[in-house]
Amino acid sequence: MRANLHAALLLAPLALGGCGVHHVVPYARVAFETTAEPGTVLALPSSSCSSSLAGAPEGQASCGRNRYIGVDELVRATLEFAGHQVVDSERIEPTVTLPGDVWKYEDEEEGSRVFVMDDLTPTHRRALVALGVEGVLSTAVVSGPQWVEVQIQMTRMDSGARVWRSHCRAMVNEGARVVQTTARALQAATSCAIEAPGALRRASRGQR
Amino acid sequence: MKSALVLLALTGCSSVGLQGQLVRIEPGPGFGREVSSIASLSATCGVMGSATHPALPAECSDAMMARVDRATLGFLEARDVRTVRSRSLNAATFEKLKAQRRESDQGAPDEWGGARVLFRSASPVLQSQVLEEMNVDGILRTRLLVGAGVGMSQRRSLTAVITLFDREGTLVWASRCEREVGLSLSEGGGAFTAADLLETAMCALEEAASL
Repeated sequence: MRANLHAALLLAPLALGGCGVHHVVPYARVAFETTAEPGTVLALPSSSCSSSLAGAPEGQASCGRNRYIGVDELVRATLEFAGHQVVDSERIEPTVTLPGDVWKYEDEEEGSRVFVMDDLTPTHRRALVALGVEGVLSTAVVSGPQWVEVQIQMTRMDSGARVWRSHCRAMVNEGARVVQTTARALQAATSCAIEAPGALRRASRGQR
Repeated sequence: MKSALVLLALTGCSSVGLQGQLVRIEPGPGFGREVSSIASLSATCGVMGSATHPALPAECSDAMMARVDRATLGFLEARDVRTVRSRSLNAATFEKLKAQRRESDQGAPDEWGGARVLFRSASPVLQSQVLEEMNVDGILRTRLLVGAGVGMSQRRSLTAVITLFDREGTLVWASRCEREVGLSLSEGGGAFTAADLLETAMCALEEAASL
């Protein structure tokens, strides 16, 4: 009986800890810059960034080209559910009508294509508009010492104007306490970042 | 008492248990338009994890996605919807890409020899042209997501989002089904299987068919 009680005391926090992960909610920061949402969106693969690299300036992250497939799928599925036609940029055949230098090959062995938004010239943008692409969605996953943050932005292809950007951060640790796994935090932050702009727009329409 | 607590700890939270199916369907601006022939794009899939992936994870293998595609087409055909298999679309796209290549004179057509050109990899404009030529009204997209593990048992949420767009790219309907799978007190335990993923996709499709 006494042993059972000890076991109960040891296991109860473990069990309750399992419940606790459901209550960790990230918060979103969203900025709208233009109201015209593009219909067909070219979704770029996510990039992984670290804010804790030695030598990185305060507030700036250093990003690599490795992608989070789960993050990409969740972002794209949410966009499609909201009515956007999503083109997966890593699947589109670039050599047919796009200038070759729009695409950069990071890893020849894997054959992965990387679309570098910053390199887009007006000519590139016109070529993508001719393909039927109205907007571009880019996603970055930033990892801090105790948190992960998902940063998403939607840009119009014709003008290059940013439509919105949305950042969501979810805690992995609070001090020495593990709040949730990194994967769980990543999922929560991704859902938050991609759903927040639509939810805010709906709320704004409802208030008028 | 101890064994009950062990199970409670393993499942993460006994009061929650495995979450039931959560289904959400949204009619789009194109809802109500007649869609009697549908092309189904190959399903795509992602696993939520803390690591980046150079390639697709095992849960989202090509074989698994092919099973989802077959089930989707079978479901539509059973409801008298004319379906176009991705193989036909790929061939049509390939021919169009070759023609486009010749017209723009950007190198010899031979360069394309043996290339596997997927419909999904064609531009939206080209996709629309191919659909029109093949007399297809709608295009079905399936996306699957394996969520992050929760609790000590690492139970996971499986989500399927299926959307139907018309040829012009207007959403006809969107359906989303989310289920939790993994160790369950009532089921006696067990990890998620390929059948769970398939069932989640069918859940989303069946709900949409009830619209």
